Amino acid sequence: MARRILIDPVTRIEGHAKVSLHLDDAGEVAEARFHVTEFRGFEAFCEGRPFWEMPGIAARICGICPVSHLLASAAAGDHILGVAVPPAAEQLRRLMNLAQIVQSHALSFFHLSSPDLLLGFDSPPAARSLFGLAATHPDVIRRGIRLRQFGQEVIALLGGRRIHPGWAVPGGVREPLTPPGRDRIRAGLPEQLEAIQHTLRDFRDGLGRFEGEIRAFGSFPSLFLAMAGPDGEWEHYGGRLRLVDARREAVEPAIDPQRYREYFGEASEPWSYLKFPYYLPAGYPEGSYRVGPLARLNVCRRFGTPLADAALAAFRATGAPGGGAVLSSFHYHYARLVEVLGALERIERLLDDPALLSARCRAHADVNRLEGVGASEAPRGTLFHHYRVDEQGRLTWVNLLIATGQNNLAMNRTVAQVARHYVRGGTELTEGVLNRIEAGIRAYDPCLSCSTHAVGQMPLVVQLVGPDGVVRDEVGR
Amino acid sequence: MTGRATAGGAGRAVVAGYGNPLRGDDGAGYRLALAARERYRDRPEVAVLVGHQPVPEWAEVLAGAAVAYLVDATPAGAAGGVRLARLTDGAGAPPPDDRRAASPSLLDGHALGPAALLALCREAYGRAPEAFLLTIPAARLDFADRLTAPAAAAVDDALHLLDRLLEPARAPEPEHTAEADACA
Repeated sequence: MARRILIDPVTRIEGHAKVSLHLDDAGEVAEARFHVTEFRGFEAFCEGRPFWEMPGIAARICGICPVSHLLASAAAGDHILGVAVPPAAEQLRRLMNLAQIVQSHALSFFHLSSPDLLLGFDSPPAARSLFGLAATHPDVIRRGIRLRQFGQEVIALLGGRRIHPGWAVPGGVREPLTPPGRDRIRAGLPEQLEAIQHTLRDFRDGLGRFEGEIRAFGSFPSLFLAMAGPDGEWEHYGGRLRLVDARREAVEPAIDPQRYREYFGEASEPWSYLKFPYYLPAGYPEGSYRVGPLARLNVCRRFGTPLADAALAAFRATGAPGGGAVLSSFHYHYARLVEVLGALERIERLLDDPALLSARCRAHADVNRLEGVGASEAPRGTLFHHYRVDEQGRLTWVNLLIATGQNNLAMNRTVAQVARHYVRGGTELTEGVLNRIEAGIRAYDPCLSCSTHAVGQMPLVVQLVGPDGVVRDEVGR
Repeated sequence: MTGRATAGGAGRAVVAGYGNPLRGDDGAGYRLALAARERYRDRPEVAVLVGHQPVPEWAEVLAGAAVAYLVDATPAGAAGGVRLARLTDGAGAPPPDDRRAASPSLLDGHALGPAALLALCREAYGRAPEAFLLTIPAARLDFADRLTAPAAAAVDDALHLLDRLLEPARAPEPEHTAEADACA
């Protein structure tokens, strides 16, 4: 008999979602869906606000990645002003974004995913938590806490607060970095560099235990999108976008973020509030692509710092022979650790630049363009803020294309792959199997608070499903 | 019972206030902590933590303290007034019948209650401070960027209470300990 299985809510992610699995008469997975069940509405209610306010408003989208929205919004504002921000402001924005990557990846890896990785996907759910991990691996917990604290302290030193700093503005940043602030950041780096290298070694040593998960957690060829520097180096702010295929060959070598809508479309489905972006030339849903740490490491030619480049070489060895992309979404975890290492090295390098302390950190101008796009690499992937304004700078249209949304098609495919791998006819549906389905999503570190935005009319379908799995009634609008 | 040092804390005190300052009186703990940061600026033995909610990152600071006062808003009951309730004893252990401490699986890294946060201190750092929950009655919890007059007055009362509690030789005198379960 056909059955419907619900995992509601999906746990240890940012935001609210559920998964539904539809089994056929033979007990095989016929369909699997990742439903995002929360709605935010920022694109609509920001209309009419002055674009100067947007960095502060956009930062409120999320408590985990406010910096990402702050920077993408400020960059969109730069374009509307028609200014090049002062060099110090550019570097300071980079510094804050790197700190954001460090703190967010630390949260994802240590707090949300380590219970699965260290205690096991089949361990009792009551123990499979940060608390359970603290009981068995207190050193790991302490390392994660310190790493996240470091990233947050850098953000607080620059922006005055750890969460929702209103520091970046159209044209630059409000405050420069002080010499004591720089010295404090520098003093914290050695401990964190040691901590992340230790964690990387442990993670690599333990990879052999996850062969099944590596095969089943979203392991498929796809396109990958990320920023890249002029020489193909890892980039997180201010770069062009590069789209590569599963062989890591460029499909689109250098997309100007201002023209992203010529390359990427946005679809919607009646069963989720989350957009389904896709690569336009490939169509929907074939134009599925992945963003985020895995994509950034597949896209870049090198990191550009010694420790991270060595780690990147080891990471690449897990990919297809001949230098192909690393395809399993399980390796988002691995990629996060490599990125933390590289971000710390880049922070160290930035601190050596005396121009970083310049007090000239904001350009002033009026509205010089009526449209602007800001893009940055958020921890979870490429983020676009796109604004149109009137002559007075009031927003007339807002579009937010968020990393988690861009991974939506891949996450749905991952849920189906995990379910088909572990849920087979006659197989008992264990808690460990359900947890693996959640963990397949968790690998992407989705941030649903950020990414639930409407495309056109909000679709909503309510299904009434009987205990026999048959849909008895359906109401849609 | 003492408000001063136990092993490992070296006499250090922590005031940790939390809440949402855009939800009216829910922000009472948050605003109290901002005021406390200024008030105890010249007291290096007093650390102040401010946040929208308790987070795992607070565990390290709390574990290094002798005594901690976690400050939160609570729906105003008939009794009203600022309440101080014990969360852990002088050795950092929860009361034997503490339901919250017995259910630390609630702790998922996304949102923590005081009991789970203190449990994390014990597990990850081997010790927790002697801890108290200081609650401020909240009359209004809808969208507002300021406190109601009664809540603002209660924040002042709570700060004066903290002044007394943080006097070096002062022992806290918690009352209505059963209130702890209704808070946070």
